Amino acid sequence: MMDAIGAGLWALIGNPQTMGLMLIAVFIGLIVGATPGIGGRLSIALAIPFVFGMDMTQGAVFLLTMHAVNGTSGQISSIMFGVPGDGDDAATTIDGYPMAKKGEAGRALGASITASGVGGIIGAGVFAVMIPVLEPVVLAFSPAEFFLLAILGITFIAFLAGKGQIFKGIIVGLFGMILSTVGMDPQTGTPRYAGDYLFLWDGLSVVTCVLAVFAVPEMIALASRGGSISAVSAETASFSYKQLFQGVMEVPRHWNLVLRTSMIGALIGMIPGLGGSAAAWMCYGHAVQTSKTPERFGHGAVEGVIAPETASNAKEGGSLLPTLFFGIPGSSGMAVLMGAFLILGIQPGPTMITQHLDLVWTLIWALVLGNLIAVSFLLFITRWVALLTFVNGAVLVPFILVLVTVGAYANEGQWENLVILMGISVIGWGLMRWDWPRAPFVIGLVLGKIAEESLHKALGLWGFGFFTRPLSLVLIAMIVATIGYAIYNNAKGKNVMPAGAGS
Amino acid sequence: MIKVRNPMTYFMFAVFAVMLYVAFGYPEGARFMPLVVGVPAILLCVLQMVLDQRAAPSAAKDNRSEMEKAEERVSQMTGRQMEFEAAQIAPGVDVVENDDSVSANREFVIWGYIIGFVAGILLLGFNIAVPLFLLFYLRREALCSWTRSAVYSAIGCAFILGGLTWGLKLQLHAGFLTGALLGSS
Repeated sequence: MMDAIGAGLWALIGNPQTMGLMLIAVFIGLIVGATPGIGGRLSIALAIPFVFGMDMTQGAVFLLTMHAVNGTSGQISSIMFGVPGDGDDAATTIDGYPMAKKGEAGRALGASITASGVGGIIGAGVFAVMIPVLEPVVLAFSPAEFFLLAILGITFIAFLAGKGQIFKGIIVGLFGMILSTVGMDPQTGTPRYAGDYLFLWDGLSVVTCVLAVFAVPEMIALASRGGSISAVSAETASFSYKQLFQGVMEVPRHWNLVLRTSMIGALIGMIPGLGGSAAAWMCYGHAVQTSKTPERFGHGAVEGVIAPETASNAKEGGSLLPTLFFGIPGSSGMAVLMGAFLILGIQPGPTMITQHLDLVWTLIWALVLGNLIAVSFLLFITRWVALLTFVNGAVLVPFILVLVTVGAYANEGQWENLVILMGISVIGWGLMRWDWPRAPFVIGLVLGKIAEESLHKALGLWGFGFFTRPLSLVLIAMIVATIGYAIYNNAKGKNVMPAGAGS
Repeated sequence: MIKVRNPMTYFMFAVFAVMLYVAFGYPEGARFMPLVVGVPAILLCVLQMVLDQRAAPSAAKDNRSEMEKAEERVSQMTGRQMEFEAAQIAPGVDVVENDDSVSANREFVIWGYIIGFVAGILLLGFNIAVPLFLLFYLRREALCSWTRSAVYSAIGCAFILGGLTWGLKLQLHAGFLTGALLGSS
């Protein structure tokens, strides 16, 4: 284990090219995080074409770092102008913006940026600690369990989609799964749903489908609804570096809260589907409950900024665990990241422990160093990064659409992917328009091939008796319990989770 | 009479039904996974159709602000009555938002741009379609001046097309029409 820890670190800092790529990823991640309309999963999907040809480690470090630092700059508009960048930042607005109104914008920003970075580092630490604990569990899993894990992953994500959307979520997940069967069948060599179109024999491109389901509908929404911040008075955007430093010092002053909310965030990240928004709200609630002066919350309490920020970034380390070891992405962002990992040749599952432990440690170190660099960097450039929140969405849309088409084409160099992009974009738009969750689609699509392979292996080894293996029975019980609980809640008219938790 | 409340449910049902029907034509090993996925999906679609029909025709719209919803959420979580001050955004900050009816029309316009752009790429290639799309979109939809649109388009093309073709040595689609014209000249 110690060898792998050292080798993981050396693979990162001993290679100037990898370090250079990480710095670029930090910079792009921060810029994208502060820019309205571009979320973490969209930025990963857009970056995938650019990691083609990169070595497995470098590509993974680049994408993970970019994803991990994305949330660090996202809270700037929440604190300074009361306009949350995305769902994860909404909890930060509650106390961040009142602090800014009291003339403490710098203090709130210093605290939130540092808390976010520290949360990310602790989250990576929690992941590292969990490796030896989970190693025997991961190694005990056979192809039978990996098939059931794929189904459980979809069920979890669908369950957490909220507002009685479990059936819609599972249908969308199964839709992704059935689309993953397009192409040559690995067992018989029969081309399925491909006809005479040779480009379909290798299956649908995951990158094209992800871009179609997330990027194009998001751009249509951004272009049609507007929503940019168009004006601001000079005093609203002003703060001093002295205040920023005071804010930084609030994090060690509240170390106990930081530690607790980071741990909660990392643990929430390990549960597929809960996402940063749930982590941020739960930890905000925890900060209120454990405070001796809860009446300050909502009126500019610095703990109300620290708690959600540490949690939402700590969950990245946690969500990497089910993604890498069980092949169940912890969130939709992780699902896109997992798709990218598969393209880079990284196969989630027990081989991550038996063959690629060095890579796992490199990714943990990338989370730690990426967050450290992001915090140091952002504290100096916050003032300028804040200006990005005024970028008009309408100006961004055509550039992102160009990147989307280039990404879909460059992925396999086939023009037919542009036609696929259009077709699936219409479905993605339909899902968004009629309020269906989209995250399960990516998970179904990404896990479909792994699930089919595992199913055939399990049937070959045990026949249908694989369902009666002890671990299989546990997983089946979890799937049934999840669906049963959702049906029960649906019948009682309760929401399982806040809307959008798993979307 | 059955009223279509959620077209996506029917669309999904149709997709799974067709895919299942086609799967029956495949050899046993090849049709196994589509059946494992498709059969429960069809059943769930039927269940969802029933749920759609039973759902209230139009649920009352929640007009509360995000902050008011957050107050309720945190109050439920903590068991204390919370009051948040951040109920309105900063003075001087103007968040531009269109209403829903305008958005619906705009969506069709944007779809027109996207379909036109992809058709342009297929016929004329990336090198011609991208600058034209950027220029016209920025001018007409983002309401930039012609000069600004041209400058932004040039910068975008230099970064995206230049970076990909020279930096990453990617060969981009040349376009069927452009290819035919260049091939015949």
